Order: sequence, then structure tokens, then C-alpha cells
Amino acid sequence: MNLQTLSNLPRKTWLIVIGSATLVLSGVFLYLLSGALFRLGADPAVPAFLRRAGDSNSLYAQIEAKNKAIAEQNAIAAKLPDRVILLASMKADIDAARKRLPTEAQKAEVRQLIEDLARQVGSSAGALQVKSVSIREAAAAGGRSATGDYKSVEYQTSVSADLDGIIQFINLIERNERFMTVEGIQLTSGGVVANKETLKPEAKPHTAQLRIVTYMDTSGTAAGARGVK
Amino acid sequence: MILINLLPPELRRSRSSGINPVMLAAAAGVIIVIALAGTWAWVQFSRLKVAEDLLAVRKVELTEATAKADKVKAIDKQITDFEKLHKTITGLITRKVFWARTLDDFANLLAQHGDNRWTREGYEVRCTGLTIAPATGAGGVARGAKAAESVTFSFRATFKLVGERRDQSGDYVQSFFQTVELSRFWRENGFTGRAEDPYKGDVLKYNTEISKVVTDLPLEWKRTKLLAQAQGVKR
Repeated sequence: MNLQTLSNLPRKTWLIVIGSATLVLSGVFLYLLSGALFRLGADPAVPAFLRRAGDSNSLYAQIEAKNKAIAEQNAIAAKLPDRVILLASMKADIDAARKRLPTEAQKAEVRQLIEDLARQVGSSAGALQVKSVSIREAAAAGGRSATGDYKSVEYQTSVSADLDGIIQFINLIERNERFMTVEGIQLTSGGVVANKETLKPEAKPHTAQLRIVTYMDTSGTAAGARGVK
Repeated sequence: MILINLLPPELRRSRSSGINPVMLAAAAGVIIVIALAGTWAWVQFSRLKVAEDLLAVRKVELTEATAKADKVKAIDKQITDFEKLHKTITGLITRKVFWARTLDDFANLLAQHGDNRWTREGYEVRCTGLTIAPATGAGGVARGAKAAESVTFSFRATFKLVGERRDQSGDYVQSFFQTVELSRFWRENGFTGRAEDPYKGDVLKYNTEISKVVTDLPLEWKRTKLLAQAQGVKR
């Protein structure tokens, strides 16, 4: 088939060929355009009659989602100055609160504190003597002995002194900055003996078994952060 | 006027405008295709590129905004942790029962110091043993739907009442309970019920060496502290 043959084709045939070609090419480009518009999404620069909403993966849907997320994050970030001021105002309270409850690394420190307080007791019948301290730890959670991230540690302390000395010691324990509570007391009377030289009756020191309870921070992060201080 | 043309169709002169309809159709087709191809090219190579660039910018902005928001979240966590710590400490302090003053009042009662005076003369009281412990049952902490939460301790003491007259040992016991209830030790330290509630009788012995009657009196009193609602930290 040469050009002469083509030029001799009837007009009707030509029109059919041209129409078909236009239809096919238009279909191809419409298909491509539709796909591109779908991927683009609701672009405001595209005329409204062409614009397609697209799905959540379309570019403008993603942009819209990012805009929303940015607005949310900015709303949170806008609170930064207030939060910094609030945290600064709470710092003294936080430090004071943290001093009240020891960490697990400070068990021996509390034991030493008990002895320090015993040394502070002044008594007419002689100083208060700490005979023994045994430490008993409660389970990390559950029951009265534990509170959230805090577990109770019990210092079973045996002391010997007159009644005034024991009361002074308990008072020092209870009023100490470090949170300690006396959960149990077993007081045994020391009795009275006669002085061999003067033959006068003398009171022997009482023995008291005290259950001194404090609470320790068992949350790993806080313990680590506080351990540095 | 009637126009009669007897020439065959191929030799007849055209009465149209002179534009070949095939060319017209071809031109229209080309315009349509070019328009569609141009629109596609504009979207594909311009708008998509702009959108991709914009999305990339938004991703960077989101990363920056998230980093700033994370700082606030970190501070919020510190504040929350502190509130938790504060709540814990407040709860512990609320439950704390102080014993030093109670024991001091108890010692003053027995030693008859201050305003403490036995309501009857002629006897003395010794405490030979004292055990204080959380009351049994619910670990010393009582809760109820209507009743407030409370902490209860058992105050178990063994007394020796040393009197001068054997025939008045009952009077000594009654005087002892009366005096205890009138004392600051009983009134101001949260003891519940009456002092003689746990009284289940006594054993008395006459000690001939000192010529005195000795009455053993084991008692267990309850001390209860009602817990107030813990307060949170105000932001």
C-alpha cells in the first residue's frame, strides 16, 4: 500500500481512521491523566473540574495529614515556655521530695542514719545503744508494704536505753527529713537490780525492738537519675 | 430556479467552503490529543513534582516540630513523675502514725507526772511489757464503702498494779481504768472504745516480802487514725 492508495481511500474511511486514532490516543492520555490526578490528590492549583480527591496515599492527602500532625506538634511545643517555668518552680519541691525517699542504692545510708540518730540521743541513764539492725525488704508491688514504684524496706532495730532515751530515739526517727515510720515496737522492761556498793535499787536499761519502715524507689530510671546526685 | 447538473459526481464543482472535512477532522483530533497530552504532562511533570517537594518540606517541618514537642513531653513526664512521687509521699505521711508523743504521754501517766493523778490513792502501776503492732486483719488498714479509710494499731501492754490493801484490788483496777480514760494519753492519741473494754479479769497475788497485793493486768487497746484524702499537686 503506497501513498497513492491511501490518498485514493474514500473520505468516509479517512474520517473513520482519524476518529478512531483520536479516540485511542485520547483514551490513552485520559487514562494517564486520571492516574496522575489520582496520585496528586486535591491539589488546589488544578482546576476544580479536573481535581480528584484521591485516597489516603495521594500526595495532597499525605501533605494534609502532615499539616495536621505539624499543627498538633506545634500546639504541644507552644507549651514549652510554660512547662519550663512550671518545672523550674517545682524543682525545689522535687528535690525535697526525692530526699525523703531513698533509692535502692541508699539502703546502707539509711542504716547509718539510724545509728547517727541513736548517737544524738542524750540520756541521763546512759546513751542509747543500737544492738542490731536487720533489713527486710518487701515485694516490689502489691499489698500495704508497697506503693506503686516504691517498696517498703524494714529496718528491724534492737536498741537498749531507758524509756526517755527510747522515746527520744523514736521521735528523731519520726521527725527526720527522710521518711521513716515506726510500724512496731516491742518494749521489754529492763527490771531493777540492787547496786552492790550502795545497795540502792537501780533500773536496768529497757530493750526495744523497733520496726522502722521506709520506702524505696524501685523505678529503674528514677533510681539511675537520682543515683548520680 | 432549478439547478440541473448532469456531470458525474467526480466532475461536479464543490459548493462547500473549500475546507477538506478530512483535514478538519484530523486537525480537531490533533488538537484534542495535544490538549489531553499537555494536561497530562502538566500534571505529571509539574504538579506532581511540586506536590512531592511540598511533602518533603512538610516531613522536615514535622520532624522539627516533633523534636520540640518531645521536649515538652519530656518535661511533662518529669512533672508527672513528681506528682506521682508527691502523691506517694502524701499518702505515706497521711498513713503515718507517730508514737513518740504517745509513748511520752503513756510514760507520764504511769509515772504520775503533770496532771496525771490516780483517782484513788494507795497503789502504783508498772508496765512490764509493751508491744505495738499494726492491728491484725487487712494489715492494719481498714476500708469501707462509706467509712473513711483508717489505720489501726494494737497497743498491747502488761501492767502490774501494786496496792497496799488486798481487799481493795478491785478498786485499784477500776481507778486505773478511770485514770487512763481521763489522761491525755487516752484522749489525744486516737484510742478507740473504753480503756476497760479488753479487760477480761485479773490475777492477784499477795507478796508477803513487800506486804503488797500485786494484780497482773494484760490489756490490748486499739489506736485508730482516720486518713484524710490525699491532695495532688496544683498546676
